[in-house]
Amino acid sequence: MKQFFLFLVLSLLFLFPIVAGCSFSDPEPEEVQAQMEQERQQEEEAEKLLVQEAAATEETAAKEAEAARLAKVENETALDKIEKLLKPASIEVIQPAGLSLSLSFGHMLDRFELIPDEKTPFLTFKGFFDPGQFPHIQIYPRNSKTETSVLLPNTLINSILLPEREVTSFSEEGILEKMLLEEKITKKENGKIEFQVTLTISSTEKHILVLDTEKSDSRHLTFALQKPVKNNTTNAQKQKKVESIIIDLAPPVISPREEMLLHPVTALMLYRRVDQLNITILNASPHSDSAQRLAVLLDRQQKRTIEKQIGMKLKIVNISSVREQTILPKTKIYFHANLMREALILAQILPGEQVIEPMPESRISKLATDVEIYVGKNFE
Amino acid sequence: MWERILNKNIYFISLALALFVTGFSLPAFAFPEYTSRQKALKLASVLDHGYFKSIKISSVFVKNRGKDEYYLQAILDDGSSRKWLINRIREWAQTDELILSKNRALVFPTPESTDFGVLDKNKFYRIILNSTAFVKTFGKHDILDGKSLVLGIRRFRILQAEDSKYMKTDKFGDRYRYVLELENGSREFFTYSDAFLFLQRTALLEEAPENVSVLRKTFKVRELKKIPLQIEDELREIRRFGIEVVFDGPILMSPDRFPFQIVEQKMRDPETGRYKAQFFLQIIFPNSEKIREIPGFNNHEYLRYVEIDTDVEHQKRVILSAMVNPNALDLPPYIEVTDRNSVVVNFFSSTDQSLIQPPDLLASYSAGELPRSVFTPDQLETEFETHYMKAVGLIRTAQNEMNMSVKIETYFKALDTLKKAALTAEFDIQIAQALRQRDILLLTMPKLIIRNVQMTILALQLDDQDIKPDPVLTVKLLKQLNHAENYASTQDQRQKIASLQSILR
Repeated sequence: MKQFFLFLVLSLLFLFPIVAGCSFSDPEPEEVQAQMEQERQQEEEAEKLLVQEAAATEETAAKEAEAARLAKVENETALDKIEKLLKPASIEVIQPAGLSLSLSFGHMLDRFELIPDEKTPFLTFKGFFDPGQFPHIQIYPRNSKTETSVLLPNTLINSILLPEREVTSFSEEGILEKMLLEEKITKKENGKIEFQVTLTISSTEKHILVLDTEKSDSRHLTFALQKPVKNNTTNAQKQKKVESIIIDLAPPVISPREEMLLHPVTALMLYRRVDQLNITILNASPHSDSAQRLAVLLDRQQKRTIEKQIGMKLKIVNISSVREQTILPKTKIYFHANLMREALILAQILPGEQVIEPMPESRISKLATDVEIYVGKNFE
Repeated sequence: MWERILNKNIYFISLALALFVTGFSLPAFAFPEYTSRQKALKLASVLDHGYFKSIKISSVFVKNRGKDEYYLQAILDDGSSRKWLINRIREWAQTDELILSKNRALVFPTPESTDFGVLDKNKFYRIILNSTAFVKTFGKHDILDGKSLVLGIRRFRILQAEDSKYMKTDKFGDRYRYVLELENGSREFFTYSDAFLFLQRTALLEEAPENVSVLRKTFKVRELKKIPLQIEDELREIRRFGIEVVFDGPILMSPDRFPFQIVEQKMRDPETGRYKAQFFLQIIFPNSEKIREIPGFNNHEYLRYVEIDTDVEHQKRVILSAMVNPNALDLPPYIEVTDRNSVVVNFFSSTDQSLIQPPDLLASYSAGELPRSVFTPDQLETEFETHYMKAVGLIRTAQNEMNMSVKIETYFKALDTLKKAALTAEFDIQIAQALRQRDILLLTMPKLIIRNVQMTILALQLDDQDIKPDPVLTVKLLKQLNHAENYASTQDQRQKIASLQSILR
């Protein structure tokens, strides 16, 4: 019974996208006829209602247009500003042709606040904002590195709450010195009205103004005043860099310890024989499962043979793929010092042709694995 | 009926099929479409006022899909607004559809990472045109991985239509833009990303430092010489033989620039017709050329078909190649650069199977990871290390000593130092290795002492039979024999020691 339910769940999962939108059962013909009759009646009633509604709408629109015309005549100068201030988040632009209404949303600046912080002070505006338009905010550094301009499109200033256009009342210890707010409302040739606010922020020290989207929402607009990362590449440091390059390029100074480790005979006296060979298998072939298949081959099919030959336990510690887009023509086996023999035994057992190399210096410090196998595209 | 159908595990097959289809549709190595907030902000400022498909970019904004997935929205001069995902930006930058202002180029030097850089082409041209040397660093999976060569620059060029790699791309899809012709005759084709990385790692040197050898021409192979078999380590019965590759001039490179690899090749057996795996030991010589036929050898100890060939895959490289039996290769080859304009490749052979004998599998069940070398990884020289390295140094000196008496005395000193090392050991592996070396010495010493006393007595007898031996020498030899008596491992040795003691007394 359990199996039946499982199958049902799976079948539904597969069939759902196909049957979605289709009816699940076919009704009887009498039922269909009755249903159609009922629908026809409902449609007739709806049509009657629509006619009545259209007549009412025409009457209302005519009244509204007349009222608007009268208001325009009475006080034309107070028209846009106060109306828009009262409805900041939705501004109506009346199209001359056809009385169609198009809505566009914007921001309204009510007040601001400077939040001091030793690392990054924040300048926060409070009001009504449309987060969808945050990406359109443009920030321009001015010629002086202490001045930044911010262009806020579709933005108005609430003149009642924020009457000042030049703010200098910042504390002396704070980063800000002056802030200018410039509101611009323009009417385009096509009759479209555009309005924007330009903020010019002057600081006491160099800064980078960045819009902080995490601290900004529909009621807040926050800018972070980041201090520029100092480019410390002084001449002395450049010299130091060049010197380090020279050290890298010059013949290596080999310490007595390295000298001993490098010579195969002295190295014999320094290494102990291990009892477990840790292997990492990495996929460097176009087939995504090659590393997995090789691991299966080594761990399940050939484990005993390998362990017998190398005299150690075999442990696959990692199966993964190479991060970079590397495809190797042949499987490569990298071995740590003193484990060449073990790598050779692995190469003899693995199918196909292998290349065996000592571990490169860049990975020599990774001691978690003794042998790294990069499965090449020749692995079948 | 349902029971019967379901017994066939049909739903498992369906599930597997669904998973396969889902997995198949995902790209294996896709460049990310989104990036972090910081990178997106930086990228937006970089792209501002650039050109996209010849249309000026008016402004670029940052947008996000989730908390950490940011992309860009660009507004072009033609009034269009476009959503720009990071992978598309990379593609456009690679195909020159997206061009930065001020003669700069956008590069994504790391595949699969949205880390980007800006190549100031003007700055790059000024640097490369004033450079005299190029630091070539070999890439991943090259046999010289991570190693560098300083090569003299002959000429820098921007790729033209007649160049072989013009408009071609590297494996990451970046177009080749420039070519650097080097004094050794090789050419380096590179992309904007490569150029950016060259500047990053200061690969272009205006003046080569004094202690760095700039390779201005290749080393040309003159001949191959055999170095006969000789004893390397009498304690472990390791023998050494070699091949000397003679070049036309001094070798201005350290031995680590001559790496080795073992290559397996399936070859058809002429007798049976079956494919058989053959192993070839290859030593790579970079910045080298073979300009004439160099005779090789068919046999040299366990090496077969020793020859030097030009590497067909890499520029200015030759390969010393020899067929080997992988079971005979217990120790890796050791490279030495001589002052005779040559490089010696030393091979080792041993009959002592204990060298490669692993520990008893059944007896070793170490749960934790033990250090594999006596040296501590933090590079600090402990008291143990000082003594142990001194002991190893004494053993190596003794092995190279021709005078048997001095050799034995040096081995005695090594034994004392090994004792000190054992007394200062801090880890099991340290004391175990110190005692192991002591035991190997103690095992070999009786044989050496017997031979030394025999040879000394014989020499005295040959000189003059009537002259009495020097009492100091006699005491010394007797002391050695006493030591040998204590550690003699066979009956034959004991008999010989007794006989020699009676002669000396």
